[in-house]
Amino acid sequence: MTAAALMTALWAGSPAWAADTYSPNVVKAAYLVRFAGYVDWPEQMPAGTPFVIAVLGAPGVARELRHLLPGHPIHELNAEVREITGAQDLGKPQILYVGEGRAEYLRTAVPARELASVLVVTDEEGGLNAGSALNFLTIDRRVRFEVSLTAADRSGLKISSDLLGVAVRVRGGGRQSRDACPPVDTFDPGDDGCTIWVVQRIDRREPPMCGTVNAGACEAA
Amino acid sequence: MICGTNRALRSGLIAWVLLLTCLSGSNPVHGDEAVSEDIARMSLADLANVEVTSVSKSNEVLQGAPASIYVISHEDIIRSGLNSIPEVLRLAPNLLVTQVSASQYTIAARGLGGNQPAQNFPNKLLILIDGRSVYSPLFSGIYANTLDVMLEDVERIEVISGVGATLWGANAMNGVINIITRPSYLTQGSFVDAGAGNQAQTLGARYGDRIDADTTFRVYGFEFHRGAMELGDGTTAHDGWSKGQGGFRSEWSAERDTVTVQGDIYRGTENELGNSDGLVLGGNVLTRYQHHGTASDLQVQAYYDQTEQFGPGPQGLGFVVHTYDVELQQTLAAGRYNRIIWGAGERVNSYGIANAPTLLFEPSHHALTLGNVFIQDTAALAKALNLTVGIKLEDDPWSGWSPLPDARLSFSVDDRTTLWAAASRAIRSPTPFDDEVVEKIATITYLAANTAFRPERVTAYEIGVRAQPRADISLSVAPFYNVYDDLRTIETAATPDGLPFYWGNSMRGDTFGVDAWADWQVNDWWRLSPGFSWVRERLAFKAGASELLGLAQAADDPSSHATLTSSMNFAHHVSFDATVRYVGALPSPSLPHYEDLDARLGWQASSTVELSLAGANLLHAGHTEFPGDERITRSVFAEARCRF
Repeated sequence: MTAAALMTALWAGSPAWAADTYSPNVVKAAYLVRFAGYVDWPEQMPAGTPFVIAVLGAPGVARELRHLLPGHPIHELNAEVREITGAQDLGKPQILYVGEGRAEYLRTAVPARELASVLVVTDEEGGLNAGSALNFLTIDRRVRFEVSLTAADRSGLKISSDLLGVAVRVRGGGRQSRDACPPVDTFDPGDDGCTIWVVQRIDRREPPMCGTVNAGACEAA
Repeated sequence: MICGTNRALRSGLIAWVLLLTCLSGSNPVHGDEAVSEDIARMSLADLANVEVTSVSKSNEVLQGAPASIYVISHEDIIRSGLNSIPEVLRLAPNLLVTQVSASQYTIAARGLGGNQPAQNFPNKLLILIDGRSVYSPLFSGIYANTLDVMLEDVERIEVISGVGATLWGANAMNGVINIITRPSYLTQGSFVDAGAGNQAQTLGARYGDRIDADTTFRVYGFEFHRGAMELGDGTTAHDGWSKGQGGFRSEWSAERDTVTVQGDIYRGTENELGNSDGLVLGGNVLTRYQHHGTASDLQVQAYYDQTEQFGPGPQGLGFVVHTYDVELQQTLAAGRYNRIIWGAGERVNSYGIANAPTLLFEPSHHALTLGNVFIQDTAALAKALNLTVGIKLEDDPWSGWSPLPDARLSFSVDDRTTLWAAASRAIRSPTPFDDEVVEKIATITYLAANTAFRPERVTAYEIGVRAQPRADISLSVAPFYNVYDDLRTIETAATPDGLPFYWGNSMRGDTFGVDAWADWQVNDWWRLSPGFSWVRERLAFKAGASELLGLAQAADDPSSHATLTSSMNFAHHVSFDATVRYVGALPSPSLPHYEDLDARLGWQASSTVELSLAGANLLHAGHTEFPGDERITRSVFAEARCRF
């Protein structure tokens, strides 16, 4: 790259020199809205009630959610964000996002029974160990996530294979098999009430992984 | 030698071919188009590929921690343009890093950084790489030439200033440096980087892959050459050095269990003025088992480390140290309000030393055992009030069992402000260099061994505030007051000429000061991060001390040092980072204060390739950080990093 090209690159941006990347808070907020489309909650949410995303210890993400949510109904419900400070004002949200550094609080101060039917999303290394179903990881300037199917199962949530396909890694979820997977694009929820999930690996050279969400209750395909 | 050169050439060629392949096959990033899209409409897969602004500092993870912890993130490391662990440690405002020679650095926190002419080396820090202790058990100091890791695979470096003995263990007297690399499932795929400049040439590669659904691994290798420093008259100090290192890390993770196996092997040569090359070589292998239960966590870890150095230094002609270490740690929830961590560990350091005629370890071969048990409870006293109380019992071969208690209180005023206070005790266990070393001039013994040398002790009192007063500003301020006793001194015998001397414990004193830093997100694309550290030392000899070499033998520290880092993100994936640092004058031996500037211009040329141009020590043609004649010269470094 020549010096001239470099200078052009420096100055060619907007007058404010705005960077062409997003803030992690924006991306995480967008993920939280998107996640809802890949998860089935055990209880039908009555029309008219709001879809609630509770946010603990992450005012930046809450702010972005307030921007994003108005134009984006989730499961045909109006979605709203609720900032909480602890277990006492948790309420009954559909999603609980626990900000960076708060997973330990979640684990010690929030009884597991209060998290039934709640999609818990943490945001730190080892976050899944606090019992969350999804955990953000920032790797090489990209916000990625990992999944615990066991935690999802415990909360009674069904997670679609499309979401698992994007995950950096998937923990739990019964027997994992490298062969005899149904084709990735013919995902079938299964007749016996078991959700079969198929993971197309990020590395496409690898065969997909598959299994069933309800460990023990059904066999891998 | 010729064979070695061929090997280096061959591996160099392979890496260059890989890099060129990756450069030619890569596509430009489509960031600009992505910006115009509504992010809420992106698919999950698109979101996973959105590059996020890296100027926001992720220190939220520390919000509640009752200690002075600074975290150097992966992003900070890459954006600094610095290419070795000791240089990267300069990013922590609570550490003082001083370059002594091309390969050697001193690293200290909160003062008492030693005084090399008095044979008092910086020896009050614990450094861990992935849980493996890397301070030297021979003299509790640090061999900076053994600290190298693949920087691309480092997740973060936690720098704790203050006592960390209860949890972290031996030698965590003034601070702990915890270098943490990424698990192998986060380092999948290929990475190649090559860099060259007037002071350093580096070449590295890593490959990560999956063995089966639960098992991942990575292998890596790098080699580098770092150029010599310069003498006052402009001639070369002829202390350049080269090193090659390779290693692996593998994880097997099931639902609640993770097994990690990792290892490294390295060999380096160091030039010496008027001498044959010095040699550093070593290797290690570590395995760790972690179980995450619903109410408890268990971790068992074992490692073996071998380090060999041949060259000048406090250990004489050369040495080999074999370290065997096993540790167990369990975390339990005791009711709803208590969290208990307990554990135990045993370490054997078995060493052999090729004694120099003037500096002898007697015995020259020895095996030392260091054992410990600890327990710590964190109790939630009230909604926002946590009390942590712990004690470690440490057993060393010379002074026996020592209690290392620690109490910490943290109070979350609100979601954005934490106040904390701590009182703790720690020791620096005696080492062979304190207890068993004999120094001679011809046949005259002028320093005799003293196995009655006691541990150096500190009682530390700290308070701190960590706050985010506005959404765009976060800060940490941590004043401390340390009371030291039994600090090492040189003592004289009751003979007419005072010979032989021996190491005694005849100094005490106190230090007080503050570590402080902040982050200001000026706007979307610009962050400013000032850091500052100040310490005042008040030392005194105890009754009966020889007072030989004076109080200055304990330390030759600047009273303050400061940094200011600016991180900017521009359009078209261009970033610019600069750090200016100031280090105060050293009192004795004296050295004027200095300030200097490191900077890096980076360009993410495509989704796989990042190019950068970095400069270090840009303000002067050369500057001296350590008393003596050696100067660090201005350097530039161009680097290409490629992930595919």
